[in-house]
Amino acid sequence: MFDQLLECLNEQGAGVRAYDACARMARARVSEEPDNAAAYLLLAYVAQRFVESYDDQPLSVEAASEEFQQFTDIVKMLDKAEADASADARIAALNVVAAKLNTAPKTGD
Amino acid sequence: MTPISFPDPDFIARQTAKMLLEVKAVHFRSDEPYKLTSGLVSPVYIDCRRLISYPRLRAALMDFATATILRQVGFESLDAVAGGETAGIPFAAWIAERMGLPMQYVRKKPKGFGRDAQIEGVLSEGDRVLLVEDLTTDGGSKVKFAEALRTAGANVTDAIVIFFYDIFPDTREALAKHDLRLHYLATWRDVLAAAREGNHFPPETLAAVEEFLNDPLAWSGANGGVDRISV
Repeated sequence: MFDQLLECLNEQGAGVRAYDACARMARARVSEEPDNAAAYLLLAYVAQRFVESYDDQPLSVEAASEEFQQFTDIVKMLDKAEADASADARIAALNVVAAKLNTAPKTGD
Repeated sequence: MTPISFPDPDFIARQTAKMLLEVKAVHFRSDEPYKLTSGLVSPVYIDCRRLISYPRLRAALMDFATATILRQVGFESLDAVAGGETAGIPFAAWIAERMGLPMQYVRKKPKGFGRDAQIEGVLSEGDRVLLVEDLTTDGGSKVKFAEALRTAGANVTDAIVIFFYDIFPDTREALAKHDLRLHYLATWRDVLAAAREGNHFPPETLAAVEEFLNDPLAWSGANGGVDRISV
């Protein structure tokens, strides 16, 4: 489900422009899929954070790979919780992701 | 206000390239490449924002830019100068000052409401506005900024940058499709020539850079980046 965002990133090269498109797609899904609004909003936040950190800034391939891996991990965690279909699992995953994002602020934010 | 002489474009390109190297705005790194906004993987990166911290050098560059505009756009063909957020703003201010023209700047995202939500400064309907940014890779941001200015009522046909990558054969055509002409002071070829002349980098580094410049999409694809881009 959420891995469509990963496909979007991959197809567009996982640069700033791709994350910007990904953030827009995630925000659109917030209203299109109200049952997953919180997850999509978090993913939009992650993608937008990348844009704000690296737009106009040098981005090494290594750093881009690390960022992509982090995004992939988050998507997989949310996908797994969604597949579980339990409300508790989904809320727990959302909280884990939110806490992870809060404790790892990007430089340049 | 305006420069009293019009230096030869080749001189401007050579001198601009030397200045970019002098202030270490140029980075060549083939073993640890960069990922550009478009997803293109590149062994070259340029940071034109460093230029603002060197008053003598930036004054010369702004004279070059003003001469280029007067020669290629005209003396009485513009009503205002707009800088693109953020790197274009200081250069737009200096160019506007030299040309005795009003200035605006364009935000990347709208702030507030209305058709001028991306524009700061006073803009009148039909004003002929020159767009200023620090550099152009594939022209994507020029198109977005120009569209924002047009939405606010401006007539935008020309953009100027300090540095133009000039590595994609269809960039000018893509900009032309959006009714934009691009003016610039120097390109990667100029920087590569100046780097060779000044022995700024090892020969093997420059060879890798040239390989990239000859076929950037193939180089990017072979190094994990995109092998096609669209504006």
